Amino acid sequence: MKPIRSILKGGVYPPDGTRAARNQPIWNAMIPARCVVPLLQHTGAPARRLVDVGQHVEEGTVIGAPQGYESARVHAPIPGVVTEITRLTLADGRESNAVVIELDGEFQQLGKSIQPRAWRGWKSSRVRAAIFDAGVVGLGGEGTPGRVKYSPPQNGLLEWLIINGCESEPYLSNDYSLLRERPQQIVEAVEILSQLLAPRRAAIALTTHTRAASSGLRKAISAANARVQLQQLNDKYPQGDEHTLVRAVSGRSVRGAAPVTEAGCMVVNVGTAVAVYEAVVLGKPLVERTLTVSGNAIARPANLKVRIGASIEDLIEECGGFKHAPRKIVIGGPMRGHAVADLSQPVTKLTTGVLALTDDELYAVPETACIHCGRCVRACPMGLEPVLLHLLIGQGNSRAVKEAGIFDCTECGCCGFICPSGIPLVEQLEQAKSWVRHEVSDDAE
Amino acid sequence: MTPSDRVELDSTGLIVAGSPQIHDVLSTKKLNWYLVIAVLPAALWGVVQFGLPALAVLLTGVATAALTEALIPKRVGGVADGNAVAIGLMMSLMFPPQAPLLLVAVSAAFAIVVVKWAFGGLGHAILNPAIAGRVLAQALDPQAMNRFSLPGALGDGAPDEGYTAAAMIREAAEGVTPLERLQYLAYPRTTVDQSVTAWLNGSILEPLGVHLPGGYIDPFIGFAPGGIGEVSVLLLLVGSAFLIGKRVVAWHVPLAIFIGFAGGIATWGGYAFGTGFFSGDVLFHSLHGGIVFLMFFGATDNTAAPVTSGGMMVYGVLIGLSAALLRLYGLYTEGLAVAVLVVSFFVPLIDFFTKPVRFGFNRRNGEPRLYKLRG
Repeated sequence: MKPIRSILKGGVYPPDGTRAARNQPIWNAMIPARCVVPLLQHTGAPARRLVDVGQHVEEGTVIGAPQGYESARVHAPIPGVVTEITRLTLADGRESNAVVIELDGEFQQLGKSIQPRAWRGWKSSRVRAAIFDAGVVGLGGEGTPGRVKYSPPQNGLLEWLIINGCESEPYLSNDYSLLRERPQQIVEAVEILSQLLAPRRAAIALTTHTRAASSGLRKAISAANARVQLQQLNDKYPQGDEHTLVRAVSGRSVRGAAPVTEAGCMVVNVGTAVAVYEAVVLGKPLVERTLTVSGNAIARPANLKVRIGASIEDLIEECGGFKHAPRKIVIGGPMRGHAVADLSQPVTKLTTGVLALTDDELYAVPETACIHCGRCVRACPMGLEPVLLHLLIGQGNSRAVKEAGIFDCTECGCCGFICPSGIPLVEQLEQAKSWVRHEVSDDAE
Repeated sequence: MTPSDRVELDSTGLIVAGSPQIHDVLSTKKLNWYLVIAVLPAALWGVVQFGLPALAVLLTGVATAALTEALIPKRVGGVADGNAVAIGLMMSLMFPPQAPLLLVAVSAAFAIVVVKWAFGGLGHAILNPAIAGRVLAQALDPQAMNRFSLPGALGDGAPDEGYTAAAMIREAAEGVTPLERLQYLAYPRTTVDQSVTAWLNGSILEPLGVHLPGGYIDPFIGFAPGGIGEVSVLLLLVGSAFLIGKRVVAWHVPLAIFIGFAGGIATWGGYAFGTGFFSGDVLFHSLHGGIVFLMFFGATDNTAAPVTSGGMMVYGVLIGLSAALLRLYGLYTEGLAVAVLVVSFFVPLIDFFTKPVRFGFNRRNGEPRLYKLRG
């Protein structure tokens, strides 16, 4: 493995609450008796519903068809009967219709061994169709539909294909558990994507936290004779973000507002790689994912393999319930995740984790005046000055806010995390973006 | 786990807020109180050495600052955030032990009312209130602010005008170092200094070919005249290790001040004694006259300092250099606070010229980076 690279400017060291779940093997969570499957589990347009109340579905039946280019298929995670079509607010605030399925009938795929398909030599269109048919989206939390991500114009332009094994946020260890348990599948996914996208080089990026997975990966790489290198990075948050990851691996950097494909790089999350493997080699639709259930309030933190549509209440129950009173329930990671008050929220393709945090993990700070200490400036990995943006937003100067680079903000959360005055900087920046976009519409970003 | 250990969810107590969902351990309140805790050992030493007058000065400074803060009509802040207490304490620690209490009170009130609140309160002051208070006192009563008493271990504690080691360098003489000058004036040394110096020389330094003259250990431990909290370099270093460990203070500003100050003193420090350039006694000047206090407690104020690491380095070097020049050529050898005040005015300029390079932009022309992709 190449030596550790540690060139992340800015960033913070949040406490890593993963210790509890870290070395746990992946548990298969119980199959839920009722699944709530939102039709919007990706960026872009929601899927179009294909089933009606009362209809019987099999495991893997397509229940949502993509609408438009940026959209993805949605499958039934369990066999059963559609009992209800509801509308719900997802953890990230978007509204979506959801199909409710009550378990009934037999599983077609669960527990059955599937003959691997010989994908080598397939045409690109066939590989892409397999990924598309399985409803693969970015499982790192961003949810870019596979059709968008793995299609031209990226084809043939790629310098680097980077598999993100950095564990994008503290507390989460689902990617690490996959790296440990499924190195062969990940390496095979790299080969599939390499055949599809023809990158000049491919790398699997690990951090010091996920380093222990490297021996298994190295074995898998030499067994498959794959053309992929391992790259170890330092463990500062947000090393696992696309922009900082690309910079660390390839030395290239593009501004936060630009996609990393402009640097000729593509970042694929470990979970997504496994989904690509399952889609192409096994022909399995994306109906389950690995996620971490952790936090001080959880009795037995664990990495779970969960059906899409299971409620987070079921998962917490699976992990022994609460041992302390939680103060925050978070879907996703602690830095970018969304706090919810409602445990009936379903697991979607975007759910990287479920955290139940206690008061002594939050260090909630009451909001006071900005003391101009500059901690946010030194923490911003994008080289922005949140202290200045905060000031300009307060003044209502949209043009200056744009000039100061608000659209390069990737909302990684470093500034809000570090601010001793407890100013909700990320929320402010998030809101200011749409305001600035509206005000300064004459020259589009 | 037994079922009785289980906690049921009380969803009414759940917080729903935007990301990030966790926060760093530091808050503004903690920053202030950690500062107070870190300086307490040195403050205690000052009180023990200089007796009740020193305690009276500290209490007056803190009480006035806290009371003024409490009386100011305002929507935010208050005494509990520790800022006023920290300002009062830092300011009075830079005062001589025998300073008139009225002067202390006036300066503390000035620091809070004019320097802090007239500009909008916490976070809006363009100057460090504690530093500004100290400088005001110097302007109001220069005589009192330059009368330092000897610590208990060295003498009877009676004020003796101008009797600080740093002041001695003004009585410059050809070919005489500051230390020789002190010896000539029969400047007192403790037995601790003699024995520690002898031990250091015997067991560590002489085998290395270095000889440490007597008189450096006393100010390091804190047996020297000076501002109440400024005399014990050792305890100040202990406090600042705590501050840096707790991330209250970044190392940039203290290091840069030291670089600037040491550079300035080394360059010009020996000139007045006829030994030419580059012969200044950095150790002597670092141990006497409160530069260590300034490094960690005086100049590291969050609000007044620049925001980037580079900016903090520039700020620190400028403060160090001006402190060295003020020490050597200024009106008062003890008035290093003025250096911080002067450089504070340049902070917006420093901030402007040390803006961070944005990610994905070229440092040289400030344009976004573009890559030519193979097609």
